[in-house]
Amino acid sequence: MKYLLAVLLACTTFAAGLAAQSDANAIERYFAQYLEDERFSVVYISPKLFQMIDRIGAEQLQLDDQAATTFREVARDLRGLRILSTDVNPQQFYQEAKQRINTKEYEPLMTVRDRGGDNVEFLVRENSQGIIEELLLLAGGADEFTLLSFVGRIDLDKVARLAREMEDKE
Amino acid sequence: MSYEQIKSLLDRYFEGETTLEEEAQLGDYFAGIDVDDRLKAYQPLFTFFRAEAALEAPGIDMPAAKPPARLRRLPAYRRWAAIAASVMLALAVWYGLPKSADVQAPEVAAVDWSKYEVTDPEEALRITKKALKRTSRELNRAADRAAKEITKVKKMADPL
Repeated sequence: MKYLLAVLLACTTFAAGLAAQSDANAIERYFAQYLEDERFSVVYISPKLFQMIDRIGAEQLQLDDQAATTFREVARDLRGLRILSTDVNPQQFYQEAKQRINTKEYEPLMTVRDRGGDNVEFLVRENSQGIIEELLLLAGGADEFTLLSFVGRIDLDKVARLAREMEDKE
Repeated sequence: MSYEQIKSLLDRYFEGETTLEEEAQLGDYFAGIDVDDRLKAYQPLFTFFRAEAALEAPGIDMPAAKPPARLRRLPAYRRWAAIAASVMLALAVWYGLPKSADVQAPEVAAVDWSKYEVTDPEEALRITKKALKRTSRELNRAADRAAKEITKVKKMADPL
């Protein structure tokens, strides 16, 4: 019985270790070298903001009630937002970024390619239950290359609704 | 008992004709103190018999016959616990082994994100809003595009 408990304990520790790892994000994994690169600007929003999102009123958000509710619902489940962007050789970095990402871990969701050369690609990393844990947006236009990484539990339907609700007001 | 009586008992004893009771009488006689001198020669024999009879064989520990080996049946909960433990162990090993994808992934150096953190809450909020809005808009654009493509393909497949 003691042995059994020891095994259970070991397994729990293992599981906890895995859970901690899942906060890793694509920028850290594939683009760490760009972080120190002068040509790139990096922005990080920590979980602290998302934790206090419920206390921020609609007025402060500058949104109507409907949009504010959706915005809070989306932001509440986030654990981090990272933005990497540059205006130097955007097309080249976009292509490079696409190649760097391991599609075994990040599943391409959608790609939009405009005739004008604005390319957007969505990738998602799911956990074993099929819940999206990270949403990546790669955007490569003529002027800028941007990589957005949202870590947390992400509901794509709510995210999609957000634009319409926000647009109405602004 | 008289000498004659004992003598005749002895004769019959050596012929092997005495009963157990008579042999006990002989034993008693020779164990006593007034043994006739003519019969003294037989005394050591009977005292020896009696002494020997009183001896108890030292206890010999015979190994108890082993019961035939049998499969031990564990109570149900112990059996399930054992199964659960082995499953957990297998899972632990499986998780512990590096997966092929992990091996291919580039070495991850811990990044100090606090350097890039936006500490002003208003600024952080503004950036988050902008980022989510952009993501949402692109998501819709991609979905619209996909929907249009699907309609196009449907039209091609179904010319009516």
